[in-house]
Amino acid sequence: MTVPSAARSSSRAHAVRRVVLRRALWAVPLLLGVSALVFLLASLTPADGTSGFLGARGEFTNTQTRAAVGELLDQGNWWQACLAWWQGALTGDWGTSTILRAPVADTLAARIPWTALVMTAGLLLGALLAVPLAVAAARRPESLAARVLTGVAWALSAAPAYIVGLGLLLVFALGLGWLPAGGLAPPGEPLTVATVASHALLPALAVALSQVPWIALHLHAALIGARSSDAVLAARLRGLPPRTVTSRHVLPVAVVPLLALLGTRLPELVVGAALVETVFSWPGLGQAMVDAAVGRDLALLAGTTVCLTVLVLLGNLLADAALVLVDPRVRADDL
Amino acid sequence: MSTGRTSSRLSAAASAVLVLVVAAACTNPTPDNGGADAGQVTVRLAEYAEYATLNPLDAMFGITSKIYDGLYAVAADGAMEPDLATGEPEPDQSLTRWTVRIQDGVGFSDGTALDSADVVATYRTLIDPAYASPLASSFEFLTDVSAPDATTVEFVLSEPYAPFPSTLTVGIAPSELLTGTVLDSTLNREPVGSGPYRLTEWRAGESLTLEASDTYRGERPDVDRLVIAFVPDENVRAQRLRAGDFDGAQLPPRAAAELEGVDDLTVFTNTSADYRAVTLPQGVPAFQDPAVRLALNLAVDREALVEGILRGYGRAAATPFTPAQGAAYDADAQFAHDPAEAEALLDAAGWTAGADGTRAQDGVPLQFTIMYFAEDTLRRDLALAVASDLSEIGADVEVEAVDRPAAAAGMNTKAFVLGGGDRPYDPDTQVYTALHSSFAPYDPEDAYTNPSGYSDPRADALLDTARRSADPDVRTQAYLDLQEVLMANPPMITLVTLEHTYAARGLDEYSGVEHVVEPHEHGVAWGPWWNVEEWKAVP
Repeated sequence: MTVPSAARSSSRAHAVRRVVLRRALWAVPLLLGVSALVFLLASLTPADGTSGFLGARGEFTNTQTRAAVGELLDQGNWWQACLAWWQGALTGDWGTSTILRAPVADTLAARIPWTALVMTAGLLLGALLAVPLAVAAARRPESLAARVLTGVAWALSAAPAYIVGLGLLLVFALGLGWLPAGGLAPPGEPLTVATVASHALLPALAVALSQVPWIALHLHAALIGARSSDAVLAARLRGLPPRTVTSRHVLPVAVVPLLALLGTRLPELVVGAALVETVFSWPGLGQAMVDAAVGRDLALLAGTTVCLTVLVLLGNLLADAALVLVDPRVRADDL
Repeated sequence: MSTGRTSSRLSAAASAVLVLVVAAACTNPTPDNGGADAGQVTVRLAEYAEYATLNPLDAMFGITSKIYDGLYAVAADGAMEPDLATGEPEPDQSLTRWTVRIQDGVGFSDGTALDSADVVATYRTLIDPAYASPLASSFEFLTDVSAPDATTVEFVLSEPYAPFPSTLTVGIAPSELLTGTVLDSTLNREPVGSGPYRLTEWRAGESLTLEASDTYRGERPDVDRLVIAFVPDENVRAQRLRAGDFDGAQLPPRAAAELEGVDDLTVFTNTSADYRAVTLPQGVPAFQDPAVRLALNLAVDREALVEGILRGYGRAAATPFTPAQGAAYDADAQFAHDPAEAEALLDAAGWTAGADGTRAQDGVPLQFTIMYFAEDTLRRDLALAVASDLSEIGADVEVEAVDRPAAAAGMNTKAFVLGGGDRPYDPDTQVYTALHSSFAPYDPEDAYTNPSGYSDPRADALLDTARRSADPDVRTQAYLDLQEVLMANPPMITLVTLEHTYAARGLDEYSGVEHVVEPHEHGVAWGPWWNVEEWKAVP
């Protein structure tokens, strides 16, 4: 390690800037393509916007009224509708949700923070739970505790987030009464940081538990690999304490592939969060997205899809930028 | 590079991000109202879905009736009583011109006055195709509305229409806010009405709060606040109700019955005009034979449906008429469960069993499919039970889960588990479009009116007599006669009418808690809470 530290970090920062720029350029055709796909796929489904708009009342609506609603919602074929939506979106008008009867921008602005909160908190909580588990299991790979830990992680990875959420709800909210069972605050009470934090805990934990298995298992495997590397063997031969060996020589190497994986797992995290939101009556994007798809609410569907795509792109970018900064072996041009 | 420092910096940064996100999330939604003041009475309810809109031109009854007043309103016995109106509507001789007088000195929650111009604007907007109000379906005969003076409104109809008063329950909105369309109206999210409550907060996707309106013309409600949370999952709704998060919720019969007596919860039920029937469309050749339609009606064990599927919360029905239609309902018009008689009828009509047990007549098999909405477990259970009963007498019946477009597309060639009773407050609105032959031709855009394609000249004559007569006795007799026709020549297999089930606590702390006849629609704006503004706290 002869490169002066300042020079190295400046060239790394430069590399990160290159990655950011390239990704930003890529995002434009990607977003256009994804949104066009949404409109195309929606046009191929049997669902129709008028039925979605009328909901249960569709059973009691006569021809003239149905036609009037149909005319109001009509936006031409799929590419005309897509084009019209982008024309509006670029000028700040994201269209009007047909199932919520409200501007899509308002809906997104009201709901994205809640989804982001549960996702971020869940991911952090998941990492906080998974890293010590993996480290402990890797320290004595053959011990009974390590086997139990990895066994539980595999079992947990097979449990859908919905089931995990329902289980947490039954045990901690309804059984023990330690935590609130849903919503943002007790019904009718104002939102404060404290009430929201206590209400976010169980949904975040449900998301976290769905993330723990893959973080723990991958980290565990990477730690086992890193422990047998030459560098670690050399450090142990030099007589460094085990704690120092783990924190300075094993973890840094093992964490790198995890960061790369994190980006690719984001879409799954979003889907998991949507299911968890339903269990905990959490007013995030998930439920709105499901309703939009079922009710063929094109503007809301396009708006949520574009936002989630941006979220995933940003997450990927952050993960890759962290990778470039942390791991000197990664070349920015390969990303 | 020091990982120890890096990871501690990372976790510090992560914590900072988390705090920022929480703080940002908390500052984002509509400003809260500072919570409950001491001494305020709050009732907290869990609704099964978020309301799409609070626009009175997009949703009649239910939640909008808390915020808006109509000319008339549903009363305890399911009858209509004047709300903004000062008395009954006065028809002319031809039943095509109706005059309604309204109260003076009524104000909207935004401080403006409500007069006849607002009523005219509300109904004109309602029938304007450009506004696209889904409620326009109920007003196809309304051609014009006018206001001779500030407290008089005149409605002009294209045809004599005796049930017209029962439709005048639409919430009246301020004329200056009736712009745009039903899709982008500001009334969707920011309602302005003259009713007992006004909206003070709507947390998108989570809950809304109504508070007693200072401008309400009536007595101020004892229940100051209604908090309605949106909890779609019925298990979660039941469990949170048990945990004390809520004072009440709408629940399906089974879930409600399980809560009876648990943690001081009680089950509250309302009768409804909400019926379920299996259609018998003319596109299925076997259904063109009246003997088959009668035999199928006799083969279904309705009491078993009520006990087994509805847990006793409902009653057997033979026609679309329900007790909600009052004197026009013939309680004796019921089909006995008589499979032997059903088989005898089929044998006599030449529908004989083949080698596989399926009956057929001249090579036409007694074979059909019953469709039900895939997401509706009640309709699924009914479809399966009916299919099982009918197979006992030699019919070959399959069931099929469908979405709404598929249901409309298959309506003429497949039986369908129909829901009815969306406007039960006059027998005409309950049954006319389901039975009159003018709605019989199959139209995929209008699949649910007369879905069986039923056509009986006697039924048509009775329906039209009742629709055009101003004499209540003539109307009642026509409907009683009609039920006789329907028993002899059934248009469908009407199965049951539902009771809507709710679980609630603390109802005994109030006087004035009453039952009401509910339409197809249900939810916490109904149940015991339909007249919550009239409740008085028991000292």
